Amino acid sequence: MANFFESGFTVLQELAREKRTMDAMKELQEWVGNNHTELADWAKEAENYTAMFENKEISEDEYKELMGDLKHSKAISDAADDLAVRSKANEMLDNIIIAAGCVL
Amino acid sequence: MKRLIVLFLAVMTMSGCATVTQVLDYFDMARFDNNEYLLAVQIRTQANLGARKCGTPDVNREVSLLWNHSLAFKNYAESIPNNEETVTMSSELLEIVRGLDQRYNVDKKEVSMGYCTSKFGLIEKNATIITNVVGAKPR
Repeated sequence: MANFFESGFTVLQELAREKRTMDAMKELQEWVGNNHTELADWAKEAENYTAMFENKEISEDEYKELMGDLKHSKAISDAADDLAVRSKANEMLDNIIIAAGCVL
Repeated sequence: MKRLIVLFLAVMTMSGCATVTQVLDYFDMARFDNNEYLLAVQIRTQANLGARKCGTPDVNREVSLLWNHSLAFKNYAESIPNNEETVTMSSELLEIVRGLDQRYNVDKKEVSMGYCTSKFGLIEKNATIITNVVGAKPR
């Protein structure tokens, strides 16, 4: 009788573990399938700088420098997006490993 | 066996057609670092404080502090293995700050109010993006 309950408990544990694994996998697939939005609207900044230059609020070389900075900002946004995806992927992999009951 | 299948599926989901070695490299990343995060927050804070000093003689000191923090952030990020994205972000941010430092502390040029506030604003915006992603690195 004790063995019967023990084996039943083991089956339930196994089912719960499989469900957790499937949830983590689903979350992972949804994340990978997503398109990551831009973290900042640099085009709008460019419009602002152009308006400032036209209104003579900034000089020409200041304007050129600010426009050049937008290229650096774009590179920062791209690297930030990459890092966000990589961090999330790592986190989800950790969740999958935990859900699968693996001990590293 | 089930565990191995799950792990294999996870790795394949992430990689597409990449080789297993490339996938393993992808997951081998620098984890959250308190000091790195603090340096990024200091840049963001310094940019915020510096913008308030635009048009006053105190702005030169604020720019110097911002330059110091940005350089320290880049140097610190570079010393951490598998930290490519943060190195890229810190190097690009340093280039933005370099222009500000050049005008105020090297060339000592006349600087317009519009340039000063725009530059500090841009640096703060970028620093915010950086703190958000560096703060979300896996623990």
